[in-house]
Amino acid sequence: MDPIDESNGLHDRVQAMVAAFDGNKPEPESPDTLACDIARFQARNIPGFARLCARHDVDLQELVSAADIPAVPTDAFKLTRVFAFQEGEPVVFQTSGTTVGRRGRHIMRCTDTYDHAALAFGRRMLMPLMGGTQPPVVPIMVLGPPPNEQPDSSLTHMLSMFAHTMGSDANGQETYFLRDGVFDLAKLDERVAGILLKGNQPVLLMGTSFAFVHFLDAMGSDTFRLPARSRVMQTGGFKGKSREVSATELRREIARVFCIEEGDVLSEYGMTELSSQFYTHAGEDTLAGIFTEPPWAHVTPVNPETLEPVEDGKTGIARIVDLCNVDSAVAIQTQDLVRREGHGFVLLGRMPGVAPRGCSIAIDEMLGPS
Amino acid sequence: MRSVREKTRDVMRILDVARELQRDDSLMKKLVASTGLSIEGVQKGMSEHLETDATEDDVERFVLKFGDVSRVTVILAANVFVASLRAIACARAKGERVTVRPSSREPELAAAIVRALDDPNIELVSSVEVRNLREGEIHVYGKDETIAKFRAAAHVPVIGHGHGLGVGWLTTKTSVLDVLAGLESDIIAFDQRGCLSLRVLFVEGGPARAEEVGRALHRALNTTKVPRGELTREERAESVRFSDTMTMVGEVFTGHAHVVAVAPADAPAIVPPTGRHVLVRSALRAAEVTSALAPIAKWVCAFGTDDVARAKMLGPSHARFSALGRMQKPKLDGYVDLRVT
Repeated sequence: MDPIDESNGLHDRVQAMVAAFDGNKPEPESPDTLACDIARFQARNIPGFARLCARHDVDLQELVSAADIPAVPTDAFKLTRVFAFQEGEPVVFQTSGTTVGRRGRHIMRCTDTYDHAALAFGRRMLMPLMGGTQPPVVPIMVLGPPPNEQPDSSLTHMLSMFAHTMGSDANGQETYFLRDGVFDLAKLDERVAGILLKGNQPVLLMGTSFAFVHFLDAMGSDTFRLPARSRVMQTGGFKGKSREVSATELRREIARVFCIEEGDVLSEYGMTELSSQFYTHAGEDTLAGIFTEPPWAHVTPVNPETLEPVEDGKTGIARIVDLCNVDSAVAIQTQDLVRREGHGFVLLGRMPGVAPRGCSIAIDEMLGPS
Repeated sequence: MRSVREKTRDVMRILDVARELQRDDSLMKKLVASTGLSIEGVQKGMSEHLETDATEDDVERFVLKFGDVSRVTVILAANVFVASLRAIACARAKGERVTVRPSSREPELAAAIVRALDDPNIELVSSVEVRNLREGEIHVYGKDETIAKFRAAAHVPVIGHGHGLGVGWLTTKTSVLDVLAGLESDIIAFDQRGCLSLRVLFVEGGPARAEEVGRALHRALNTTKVPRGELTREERAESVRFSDTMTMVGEVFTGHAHVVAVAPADAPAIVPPTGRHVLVRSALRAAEVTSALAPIAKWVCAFGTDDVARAKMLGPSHARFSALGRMQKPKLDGYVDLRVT
């Protein structure tokens, strides 16, 4: 079969799974079956992934479980083309961090599957109880730059899509409150005041953790009241971009400044190398830092030495199966420490680098702030 | 102030002591325990890489490179075990009195040298309160971050010897078979924990030649007579990550105690973990070496090659240029890290 046709067929199957979720219908097929079909497609079209399968002695014809698909390390996205097509780069999202001068690149044929999945799960996790309409729409504000300032950021793309699709009054209203690295507090104040005047409709405020840290620093002990039942979604780390704040402290401070419940400060976990995202549910889950997965993605803590799943309750590095990564890597291996908890997982930071046992420079040392 | 003759005598005495320690089996056993290297690895370090072969003329030239200070405090934070000899020699060449604080991870050789010297002007301490030092200067061997902390706290000058790595360049004028033993030695010494250890090898020519070199290196490392020491859990995890990542990029040859990854010419010069992991990268033209090295150039301490004259035009000027096989055997000619000014 022509790779394009095969890719289209796989995208259709993933989108059917997303649509079933969105419509509260049963899964049309087993995620394992679909994951294995995607892995076979990728091995046929990405030579590096075929080598990785061979290295791990994986017989692709016999593959029946997503857990047995060799995971592509996220570093590979910085070093080589992880894409099932040799020609063209229709859509490229890039990481912000670099390794020896290179940013990670996630190439996609188009963002349709990404958009459908992000929207379905984002709506489910972020919006319940906020809007009275079906599907719910609320005023959305982004404590971040507009898409034209960061056209290659998957996060900016997603936030923009959310604002456009789930925002109740985006047209003609200011949505982005960070331009050229500077907060426009006056405009944010103006927008929120307008909403309060119109009837106190809850809003959704989204941004990166470091943007919120800068915002908190700018506010000091002042508050910036959001309408009742509003929610904040924060995502990402801070390394090298702001002072570092613990997740608990950041959530508490965000709740204080915006005068909302701590349980309404939700966290998102995603990365450029993925097409799916994970969120904490409002309430107890977000207080406990438990992330929920959509049915088309799964996080498994694995032993960093063996890459085998760790025992229940133990910490490992996150191995993520993401069916939406049809044309890149259906399973990726991160260096993020996670532990399964309840119906989801908790994020415990990044695995520390190796302590040097001599004067040979360590990889982490080279990637440090210097 | 000591004369050049007196300084030379003081440094020669240190080398004499080190020569005696080269025959000390009980010290070898202690070094195996503290370093985690194999006994053969420790023996190789002591017999081939401890810089004891300098003549009196060499040492006289060596001491002339240093000025005079009343006291040098040497802080060994993270270094390969043989590095303590040169560190003490540099300090003694410069300081009337020397205080040595060995590395907590590997204190054995530094302590053995100082004890055997039995010199009232050289003392061994287990800790140093940097902010209390009011005379002389401090020589720190460790991470940039560690050096920066000492600089921030100190009231006297701090000379920092940071971490680094070695790179190699094999040109088309030499067959890989002619330099294989040297390449192997540059890699296996100290299991690559040294700042002069070879970790990235550029191969002039196309991808086929790079693969040929990678295969040859893989065979040589498979049959080496110096077993690798134990890796920590974290080091083993890094090895897995490197191997899987490089498998996505190119060919990976995995031995029982080494990994050789062969990357195409457009791949960045990613630095492999220590513990006998090597990146062999094709460089079709010499100039590619310079551009590929640019992101890591500031950490390059050693540059081994079969064509030193050409290599000097490609590599960073602060690197030590040497023949392949000599990267971890520098002459006793001053600080080992030429980035130190």
